[in-house]
Amino acid sequence: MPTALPTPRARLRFAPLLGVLAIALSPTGVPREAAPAEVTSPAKVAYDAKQKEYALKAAFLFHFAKHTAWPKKSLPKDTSPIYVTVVGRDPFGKVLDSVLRGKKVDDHALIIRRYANVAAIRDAHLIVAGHLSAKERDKLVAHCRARAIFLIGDQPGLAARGALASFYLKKGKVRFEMNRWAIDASGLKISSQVLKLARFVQERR
Amino acid sequence: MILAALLLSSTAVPGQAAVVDPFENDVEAFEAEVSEELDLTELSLEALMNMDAEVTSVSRHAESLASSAAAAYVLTEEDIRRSGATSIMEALRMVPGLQVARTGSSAWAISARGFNAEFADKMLVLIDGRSVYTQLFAGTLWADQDLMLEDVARIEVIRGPGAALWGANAVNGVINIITKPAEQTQGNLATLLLGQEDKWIAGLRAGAPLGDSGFVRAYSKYARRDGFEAEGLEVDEGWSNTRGGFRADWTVDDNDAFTLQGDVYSGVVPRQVTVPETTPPGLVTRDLDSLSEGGNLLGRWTRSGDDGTSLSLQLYYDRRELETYLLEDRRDTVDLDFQHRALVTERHDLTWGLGYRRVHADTFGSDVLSFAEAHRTDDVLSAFVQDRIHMTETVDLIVGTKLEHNSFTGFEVQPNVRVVWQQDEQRALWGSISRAVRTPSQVTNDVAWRQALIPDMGSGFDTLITVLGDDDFDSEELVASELGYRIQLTENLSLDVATFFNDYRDLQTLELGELSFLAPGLVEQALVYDNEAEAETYGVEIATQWNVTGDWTLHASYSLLRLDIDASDSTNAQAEVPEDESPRNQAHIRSFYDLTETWELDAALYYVDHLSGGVDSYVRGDIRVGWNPNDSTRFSIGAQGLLHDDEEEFGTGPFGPSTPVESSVFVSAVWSF
Repeated sequence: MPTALPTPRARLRFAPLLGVLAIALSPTGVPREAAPAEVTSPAKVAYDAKQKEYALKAAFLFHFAKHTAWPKKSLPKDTSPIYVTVVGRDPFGKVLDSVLRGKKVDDHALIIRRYANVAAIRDAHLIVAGHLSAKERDKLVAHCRARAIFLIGDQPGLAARGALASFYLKKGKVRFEMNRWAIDASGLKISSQVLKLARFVQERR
Repeated sequence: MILAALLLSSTAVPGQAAVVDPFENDVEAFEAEVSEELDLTELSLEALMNMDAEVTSVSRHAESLASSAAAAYVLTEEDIRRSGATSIMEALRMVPGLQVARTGSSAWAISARGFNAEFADKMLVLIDGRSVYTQLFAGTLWADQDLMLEDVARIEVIRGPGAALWGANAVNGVINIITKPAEQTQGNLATLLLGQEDKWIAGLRAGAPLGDSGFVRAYSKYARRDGFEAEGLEVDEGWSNTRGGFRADWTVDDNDAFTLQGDVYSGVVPRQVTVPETTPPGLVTRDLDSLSEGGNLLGRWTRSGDDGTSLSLQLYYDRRELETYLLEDRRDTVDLDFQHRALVTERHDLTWGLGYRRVHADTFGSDVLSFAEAHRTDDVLSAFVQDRIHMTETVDLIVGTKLEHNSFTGFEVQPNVRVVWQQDEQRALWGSISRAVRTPSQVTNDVAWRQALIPDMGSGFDTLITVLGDDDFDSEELVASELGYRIQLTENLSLDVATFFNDYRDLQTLELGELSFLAPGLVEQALVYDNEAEAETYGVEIATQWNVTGDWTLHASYSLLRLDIDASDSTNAQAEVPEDESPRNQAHIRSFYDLTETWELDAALYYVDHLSGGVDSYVRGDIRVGWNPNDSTRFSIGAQGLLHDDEEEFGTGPFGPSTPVESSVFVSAVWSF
């Protein structure tokens, strides 16, 4: 006959639940004043592995700029620069600069700018949404909506939230998804060279 | 393969740096490619879409060819997710050459290259650089390592000694579980799994930025698992555990990275144990309700210099409490580890390090088990140095050693020499000779354990078997020789072959001790821990990955293992039993198939040869269908342990025979929001 002994008292039974609550309840998206020019990922490990991904993504950005026609109001002169802008914490680091350095689309030089938050954004043509809080992300989508700005999310899902496009990875290769409604609303003319390669997503409202 | 690179290379930040080195080379090469040879912007969009952004298993394989000189295998996040495994232990079945046997609903025997047991004492297990191997009984209490699977970045397994870097007890292998940096777990995540055996498992995770240059996450997980039945009777009532924790990573400038992480856990594991009683009825089965609780806090600072040098300092505190019918144990561990990659030149890559660990344990026995020392404080001091010497363009020589001083056996030296010949991008041949030791535990030194009662067989006496620890018990010793070959046969097919010959000395045995009369009709036979066995083992492990099409990947492996234990000096007729506790042949094949963009069909078959104790050879199957309708939702339905329902996977362990493993159907969902 099994002799049952009293179950020992579990003192830490509920302690493991505290952590998530603390973070879930904390205000996220701490506003940041100035965006650091170069951000080294906290885990160098992940950063190194990610360099190749972001070099490729930077090259995609070049093609997006090349295959997009901005309205005259937005690019008044033949020599007006195209501002490639990273908003939020920058996932590219130096890679973006090294891939796009000295690059031009026709006579438009590509100039890289980085902003910590939406409020700081000045003229921008192509915006990459980096790491942002949910609130700031929504603000960015609202800011770009119906403007001549090519807004692309670094992470999947942003196109479905109202951006023109977002990157995603499929079997280790870089892909992008686009939102037809947002493209139309932006007034940008995007070449079929780009459109034919995109996966189109429905906007979730 | 990455961990293997570490074995040889050097940037051995525990648990983490494993990855730095091979990628670093890759990144340097890639940057050169970017700036000098290849202007990525000149490639067409189509061409860009065909370039590998991530280091996938096969290409990782190929890259690691450059540096790896050990039998290593990496389980990726994708492997774990698509296997349908509901715990880390179950996921480890996928590792070629690793024997994973579930001995009960809450217990696993996991080891490479033989000598498997519920508490396998020759496998070192680390989680993010923190050892979860315990000095109490030499082994890992797997039920306590039930991490949130979605947080695991990868599991790196080395078969063969890793002692020159990780120190004692990395004899037959090292299992290194690495969780994701907080940056990769931003946003919220909720998971729920419902199943037949895994009754329900729920997880919640939240991630947020931390100031300007950091990230933090916290998680909680609850799991309730059913017990298994033997011969229609419930052996245990199942078990449950709760755990939670956090991880924060941040950088101060380009060169300094910090990590602070911690967990608390609490689990109740009911189990039955057969305990001898000296009064009738002699043997009594008791419910061994055990409570296992603990927590840990780990901090790490890594500084990387521009010249390739780096240093890391890691400190952790770990507390574990175990309350069972047999014993109560509370132990506090403080571990400090320093490493410096001191010199990186064209010819040398030199790393050295120092470590200090103090374990304070309060261990109390029961009426069947006692410890000679209830309070123990043990110190381990260690130092290692390793140099990777680039002999020629294609040949690297790696020499290194760990020197350790522990309070059980004094000094231990664990050197290794490795050579890797990278013939070209596709082929690499490697070999190694290394020494590793398994140090004594509190059980082998201090225990007095009334383990069994053999009824009167005609001598007129019942015999009580008492196992006694002995201070003279020495470390077990291994000298291992390994030879391996890796080849990328085509762009989509890779093959990895490893062979080994292991020569063990001073293996643990239980020798006949004193025979004493306890009472009329009752004698006590002492069995004392000693080192009277030797063994030779050898084997081959073959693993292959074939990316059949873009949507279909096959993995297959086969391993052969032979053990020859020589216990002719032992007084114990049972000393050669472990020979048959490891399967001679093991094989597995698994298939990951993308039916459409959103549907996945995955299946696996495992074959494990027969074991002693009437455990027949078996084939086990897992199947899973996954549906990922969008980026924030994933559903799975699957079955684990098919074709082998209600059969044992292992023989008898320290607490009695293992229970038959039941197959289980599950459904699960993961939401990110």
